[in-house]
Amino acid sequence: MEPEMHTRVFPARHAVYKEPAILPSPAVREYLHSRKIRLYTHQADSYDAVMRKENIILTTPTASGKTLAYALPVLEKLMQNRDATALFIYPTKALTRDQLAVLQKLDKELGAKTRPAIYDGDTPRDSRSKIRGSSRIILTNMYELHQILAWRMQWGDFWTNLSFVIVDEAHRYRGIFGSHIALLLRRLRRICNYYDARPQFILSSATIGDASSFAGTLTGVAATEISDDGSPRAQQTFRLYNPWSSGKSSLSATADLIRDQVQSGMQTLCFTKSRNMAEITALRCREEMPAGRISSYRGGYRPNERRHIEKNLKEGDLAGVISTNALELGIDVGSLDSVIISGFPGTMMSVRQQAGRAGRSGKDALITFVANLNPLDQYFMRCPDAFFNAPYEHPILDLENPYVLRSHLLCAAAELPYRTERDAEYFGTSAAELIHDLKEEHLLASTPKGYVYCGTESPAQQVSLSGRMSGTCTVMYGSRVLETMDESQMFREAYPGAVLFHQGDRYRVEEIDRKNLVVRVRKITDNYHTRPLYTTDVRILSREKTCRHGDLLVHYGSVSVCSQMIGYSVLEYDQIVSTHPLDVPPLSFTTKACWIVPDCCGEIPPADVAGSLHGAEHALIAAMPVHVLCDRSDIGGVSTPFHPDVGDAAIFIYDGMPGGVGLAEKAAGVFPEIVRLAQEMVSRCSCESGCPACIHSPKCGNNNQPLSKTGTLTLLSCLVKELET
Amino acid sequence: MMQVEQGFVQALSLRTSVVENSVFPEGFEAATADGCCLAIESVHSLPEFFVSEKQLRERLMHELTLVHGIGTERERMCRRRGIQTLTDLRRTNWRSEAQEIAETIQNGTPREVIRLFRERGRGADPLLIGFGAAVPREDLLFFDIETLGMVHSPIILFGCGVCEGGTLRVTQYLLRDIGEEIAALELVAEMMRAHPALVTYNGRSFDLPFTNSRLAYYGERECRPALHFDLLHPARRLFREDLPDCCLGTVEEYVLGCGRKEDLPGYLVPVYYQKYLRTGDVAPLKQIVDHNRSDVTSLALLLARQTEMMYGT
Repeated sequence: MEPEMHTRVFPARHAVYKEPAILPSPAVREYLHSRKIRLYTHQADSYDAVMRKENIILTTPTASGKTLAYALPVLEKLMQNRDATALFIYPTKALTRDQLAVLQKLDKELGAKTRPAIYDGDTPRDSRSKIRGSSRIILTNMYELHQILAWRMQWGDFWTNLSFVIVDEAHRYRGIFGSHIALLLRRLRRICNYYDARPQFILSSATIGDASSFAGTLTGVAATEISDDGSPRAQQTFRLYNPWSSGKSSLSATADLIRDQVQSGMQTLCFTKSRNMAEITALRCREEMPAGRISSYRGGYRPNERRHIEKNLKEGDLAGVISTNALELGIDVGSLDSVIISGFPGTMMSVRQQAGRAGRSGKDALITFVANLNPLDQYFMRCPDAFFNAPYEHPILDLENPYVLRSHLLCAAAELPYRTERDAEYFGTSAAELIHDLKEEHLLASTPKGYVYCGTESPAQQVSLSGRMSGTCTVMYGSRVLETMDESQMFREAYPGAVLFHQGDRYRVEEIDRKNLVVRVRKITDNYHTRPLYTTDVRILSREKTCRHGDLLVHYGSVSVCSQMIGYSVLEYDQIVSTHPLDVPPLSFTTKACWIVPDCCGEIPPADVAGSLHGAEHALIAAMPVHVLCDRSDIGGVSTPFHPDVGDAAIFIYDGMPGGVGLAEKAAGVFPEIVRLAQEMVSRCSCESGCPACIHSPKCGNNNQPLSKTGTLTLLSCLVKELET
Repeated sequence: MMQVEQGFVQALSLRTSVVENSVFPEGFEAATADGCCLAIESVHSLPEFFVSEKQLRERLMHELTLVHGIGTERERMCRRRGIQTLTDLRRTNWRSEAQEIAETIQNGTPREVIRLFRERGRGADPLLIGFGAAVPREDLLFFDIETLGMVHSPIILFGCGVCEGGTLRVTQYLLRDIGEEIAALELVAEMMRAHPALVTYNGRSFDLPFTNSRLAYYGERECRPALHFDLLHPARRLFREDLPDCCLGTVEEYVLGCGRKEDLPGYLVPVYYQKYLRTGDVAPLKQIVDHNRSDVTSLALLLARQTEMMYGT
């Protein structure tokens, strides 16, 4: 039987060039001329906009020459004003290293004398003062910026001359994380303003909906969107491929596809959804391939190892790389013949970024999406239009979240005395009330110069921007550091007996030191891998309030979310050969949740109850960001036909960050709006048994099973009815 | 509260009536254009500094290893051949450099001599402490701060000791509320301008940068004392072998033999001050003030003792 396949061909497009309306300086013209560079439309537009002192957000696709689009006018301005400085902010250290080389080269070729340098947590103490004093281009990340704003004595000169702030991959700053960043950038602007500096903001982003208003909310200053992409595109053949229709697994189908493509001379980059999948897929490919032609790539590898792979991919020494989304960012690995996306990565933003890696000039680009066996991926196979015509996502930010705002007010007051009237410009009018509370708590003191921070701990060190566990775990093989992983990965992947993959080799976890975050492994040659089995439970710690909306009661309180690993399966070629119990401490965190106890489950056939509750949970979570202002990934949910703490069926929606950030609290208050939107979404959706537009969740821990669309609709309609009585 | 005319007014210290609320440690209000704070004064005996600048410079002339190319081995050889001082090197190949160095040591300012040592990686040489004892006494400022936290928190008490005739006058600027920090900082900055030779214990890494960082926080100019004698580094050189650590308390007890009986441990200072802020109860302040005063008076004793160890007979 022929496998199910849908193909779209996107025609090639020629480059569209444009001369900037503002004549570049002789140095820049000479540079462009000698290297035979003609600017594309978006590059000329961005040059002009930056020279006109506008703030911009660039939303052209991956590999369209975005770096040149913003680096050129920035360097131009830095050459005109020999005191001017610029701050480039990147989301990861790996990307920062990559971009340093690009900026250093451009600086040298232009003779701009800006001495680009990285200043982050890895910068040695003794070179820090020299970088601050002599580099006019500093590359850093948001975490470092969060720490350095309070060191005004050291940074005053740099801020005084700050002319540009470049925020790369800005679409990553959404939801609660994005709200933290939005307030951090306001802290930066406030400090600059103190030194009479008004830096221009330049953002680059994946293609998103309403980019200019997003940029405005993220930075607090109005920005022009530059989106008229003039870069040439190769013809793109985009296939949606369903291996399951012909009885093949996604893993074997992906591995076969990579092998076939590589053997026919196509350099291929494959994206998988997890670290483990990247390794296993690479292993599968290698079984029938000459060694050294294929490699895996992911976070956790040592920096040298990563650079080595990047270089070999770029220079064509590697025919295939299987990567996690780590290569989705703008790290320069050149353009490839083909991209394979194995499983839906969660957002269309990611799909577009990953697909953009394919396409060399003059050659066709082949992109293949390999569907996994979950309802969401399978839905795309049934309705390819929903995939190809998916709307651009709108990132959401909330500047008034009291939990987030509170922590940034403390940081701000430690950076410069806080003045309610002056600083409302940055932190809004709702800040005044929080400032009052902080004073009552003796964390701020009112002085003639403004509010002064008077806690005993450094506030920046108390605030975690990403809200995640910050520990880094080291995997040791003998006396060698094999790789690093973060604490939550350690919990999920490094249990006693687990098999870890590293560049095609298998290592068995022998010993876990949870206190010092060290995992010791032994190399094995057996041909098996392991898969953990775990359960997630929510337990109610305290009920703090109950909101009555008509007849519907929405409870709110503290819960403990507990992931317990109960055992693991040993697999050989996808076949489970044995299952082993595990006795390891659970990973739990306390957070805030709201929950409902629907009492209309009697109207649903018993077999569908679990699927209906699960579907309603997904629909409610999907409807939440609109009314609560967060990203879907900030919230978690659990539904069950019987919960021991309530003695009945229950749906829980909880804040994904330890301690909670006010999302569930806000949701409890606006629950009627959320329920109505969810009900509308599901009832208006014309799909048969669920789709991403209604009850499928891209990040469901149970692979979107079980789900019942009719049952979900009955349940939601019933909730709406309760609201109205 | 004192009203001072607005405008370009230098930080100034005014003696006004003793604060009537006797529950605060006894002191007077010191005022600047930006407000005031509580100043607490006490007078202590001044230890004897017996080294003269002449003695000191003569001693430094013996430091042959200041010359590039002379290590401890060569120095020993020179000594065997009767070469004792930099002047004696005039008969050797090192003549020109030795002459330059000798010139600086004999006629340079203390700052220049210290720079000479620093350029040779010997900035923490205990010998240099001698300058602390040799500069005019009125220039010295014994300085120690108490803070609310390790970084980016207010400084709640500044202890400043200056020599007046044969005595040591300690002035402590205490914040009765955080709003008084700016005034205290201005008074301290004024004090540092008047007494340009700072003496601290770990002040190079802590007290001075912390004070400057707070000045910057309020938008004031930072202080750059002409001379800074940080007694921690020579203490490490002198006592490392004999002591488990080089905390001021440990060194004090061992070297000066004056252990503190009822002293408040330094790490409790923030806790005590927070307690005061939250309850308004001034009792914890007294202990903080006593602790800080002991630190300042110890600085003077330690300077004298270190000089004696280096230059005494």
